[in-house]
Amino acid sequence: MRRYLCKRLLYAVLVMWGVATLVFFMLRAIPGDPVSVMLGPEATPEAVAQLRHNLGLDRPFYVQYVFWLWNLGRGDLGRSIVNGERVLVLLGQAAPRTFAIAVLALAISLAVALPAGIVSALKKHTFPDHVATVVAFLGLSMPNFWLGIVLILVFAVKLGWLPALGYVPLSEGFWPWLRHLLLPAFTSGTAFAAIIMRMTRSAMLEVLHAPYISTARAKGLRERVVILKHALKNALIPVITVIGIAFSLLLVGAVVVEEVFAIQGLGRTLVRSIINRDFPVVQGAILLIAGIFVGMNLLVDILYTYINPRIRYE
Amino acid sequence: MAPHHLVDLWDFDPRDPMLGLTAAELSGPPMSRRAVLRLLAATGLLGLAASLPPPLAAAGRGGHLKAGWNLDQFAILDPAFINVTEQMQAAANIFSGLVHIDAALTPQPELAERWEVSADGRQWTFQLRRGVRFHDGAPFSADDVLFTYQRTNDPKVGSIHRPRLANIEAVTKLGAYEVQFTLKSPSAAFLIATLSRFPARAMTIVSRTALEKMGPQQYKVTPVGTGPFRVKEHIVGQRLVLERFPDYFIEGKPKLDMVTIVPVPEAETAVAALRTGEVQFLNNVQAQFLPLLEADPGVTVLQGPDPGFQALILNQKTVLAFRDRRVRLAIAKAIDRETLAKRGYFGRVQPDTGPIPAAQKLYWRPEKLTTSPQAYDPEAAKRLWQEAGVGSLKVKLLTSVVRGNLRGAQVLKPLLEQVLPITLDIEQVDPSVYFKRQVAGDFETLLGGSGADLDPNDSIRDFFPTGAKFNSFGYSNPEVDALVEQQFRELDVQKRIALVHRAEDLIMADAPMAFTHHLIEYLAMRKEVKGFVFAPTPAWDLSEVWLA
Repeated sequence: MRRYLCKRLLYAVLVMWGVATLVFFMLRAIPGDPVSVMLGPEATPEAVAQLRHNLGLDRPFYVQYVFWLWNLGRGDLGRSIVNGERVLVLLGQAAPRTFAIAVLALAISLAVALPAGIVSALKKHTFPDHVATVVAFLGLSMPNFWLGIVLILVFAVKLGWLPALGYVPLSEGFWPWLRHLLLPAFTSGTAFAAIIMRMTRSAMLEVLHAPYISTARAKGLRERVVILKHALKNALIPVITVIGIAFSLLLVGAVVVEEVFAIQGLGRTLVRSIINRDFPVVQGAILLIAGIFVGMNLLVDILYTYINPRIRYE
Repeated sequence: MAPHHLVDLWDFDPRDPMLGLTAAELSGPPMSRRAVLRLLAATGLLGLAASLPPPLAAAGRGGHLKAGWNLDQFAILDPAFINVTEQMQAAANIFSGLVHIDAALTPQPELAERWEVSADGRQWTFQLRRGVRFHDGAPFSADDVLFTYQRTNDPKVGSIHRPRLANIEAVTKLGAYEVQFTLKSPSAAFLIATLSRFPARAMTIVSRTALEKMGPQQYKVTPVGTGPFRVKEHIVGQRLVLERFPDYFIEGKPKLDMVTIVPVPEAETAVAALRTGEVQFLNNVQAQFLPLLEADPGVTVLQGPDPGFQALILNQKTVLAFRDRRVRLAIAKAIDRETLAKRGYFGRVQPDTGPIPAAQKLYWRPEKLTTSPQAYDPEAAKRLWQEAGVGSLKVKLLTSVVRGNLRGAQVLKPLLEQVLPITLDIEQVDPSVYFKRQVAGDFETLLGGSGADLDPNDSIRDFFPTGAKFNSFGYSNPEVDALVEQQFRELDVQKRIALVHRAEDLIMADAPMAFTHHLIEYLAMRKEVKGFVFAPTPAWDLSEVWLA
């Protein structure tokens, strides 16, 4: 196991280096220049040239690359070209927000999807199953953008229960923090709840037909134990894979939700910096996101061994 | 017809850099009303003078204003680099200049208490206010004026406002609170174009100690100035928190205790937040939300004409058929502008057929829409097209989300295609690419135009003479070139108006662009926000605002 972990970690570093390098050169290959974006139409060519020089953007790509790697090795991601803030600070501010939304979204979707998926499988082709299926497809087919705005109109404008926008750090109190997160988390969680519910249902259906379930029932175990201990645990393997992917996607793909609710999270930071060609921020954000993906995959693989002892890594 | 007192202002020779004013008239404060209005005229702000705001009612004080700003982040708050109006509106509350232009478009003393101008108009001597402090406690003196000048003027710093200092020969410190500017040639516009806090920005006083302490990059995020509010917290993209600066040099200001500005790029969310009261002020409202806000009894909507024009630009350098005037004019005549405004821009723009906007009151002709050669006439358009004998034409239409023009392009396309055998392929790009390609002339047709045209020179002189700054589309008419130069030099306002109109008529008839509309600016606030004046300058003053 330890050897396996070491190997995986080494791969992780290699993957992240590859991603970082690819992003570094791709960013510089696409048209558009951060300095012209920053200085705007009033800028003189001299001012643009001077600023490019001040920022080191006039050096050859490979020199910039080596400098960047060197600084990266020392834990320095540089400063945003556009707003001058340190990339570490920008990401350090953005990540907790996105993380909070993602955790809450996942919690909401699991709380709804797991029971619904189990019930759906047990009561296959009955009324509760149909209801759960229709709701799941609704959840899956509503675009985040639209759902977010509808939720704002209902819960913020009409009912006045929840705030329409913004983020409040946990340090300002649990309730204000949660209030600001509920709508964005619900919005981003909906689609994943639907996927997880459908996944749980089909995995459960498959497991319920397995011989060991019949054996368990023949042993005279209570139905509750059969379902939760024997069936669910085995059905969870594919579900956990989906949850792992869902969580990674929640972390990086929240850009629509973040735009709608005006929360400066990871997704929004990344997309805005791509539009502004803010190289250091894009590089830092992609590196962080690659790290999240690699880490989540590793975590999921390790979780397998706990859920199913038959899976072992050498 | 313009108000009489405005017309009278043009009794000077625009070639006279002192605008016919004596040194005594220019010295201040207070400056004479005549001097003030002439300065405005000379710096292109006169068109706005007719919209002088009414005097304020008795004021209260206090409160924490929460405002939503329609942008993704306050990327730059350092005046040497600020290039976005929305950022100026906010940063104007952090900094001071030697003078500033108030909402009544009058230059007011700020860090300069008074000033004197030498008889030849080249020496400007400023007495500085004493006892002023920067937000970090450092005292303000003549050294800070010199430092700001040297910083903006240092090519290594790369300030975009350096060209505004080109006419300054020297800045001399005469005492701890006395500085003298020596100009290369006399200029009355100096006060507004170079020294004003905003929009000039070149001499907006920055803090040397703060810049040295935090570095130029961090100074863009959390700058230190001498203005009414200081930056308490700035989480880029999330919120900018300004707090009352207790040592501000004007007694009793600012009235608010705190201002939190949240950048809200998503217009729908911003409007919802205003309706719930989560924000009490929105710096910009998109047209589609206006009916909703106008119907809300808790909200006030303010509006004003935007000084600029929008048009379908026809590039004669890249499309051969556009070199035929009949083809261009046919396109201009084929556009049903009323429908375009209604469907493409929610009816919240002013349809027009020429470059001069309503904001330039003296030069504005509302009848252009129906009387100009570009007025909507589909039959005439078809005839012209046939005469030119071009058959069918397929061109690309470059556009961006800028100024709602992506939606406009989608409406314009069928409007044109149903009249003429022309096919428009809409090409949508990021704003960064869009502006670059517009200036470089790298397009076939482009839906876009001009902004911040405070004077006919901005609308006409920058765009239509042969080889003009923004003439990237290959238009040339010697008669237009001559007329534009003539109006630039004309002393008599009535004659200038006539010349501008003649130039505009020729431009409309030549149709280098099919002019479509002028924008209208909207902002909204909740009823409890008091004391805000919708100034036509980009320096929005929150120091007078309080919450009821």
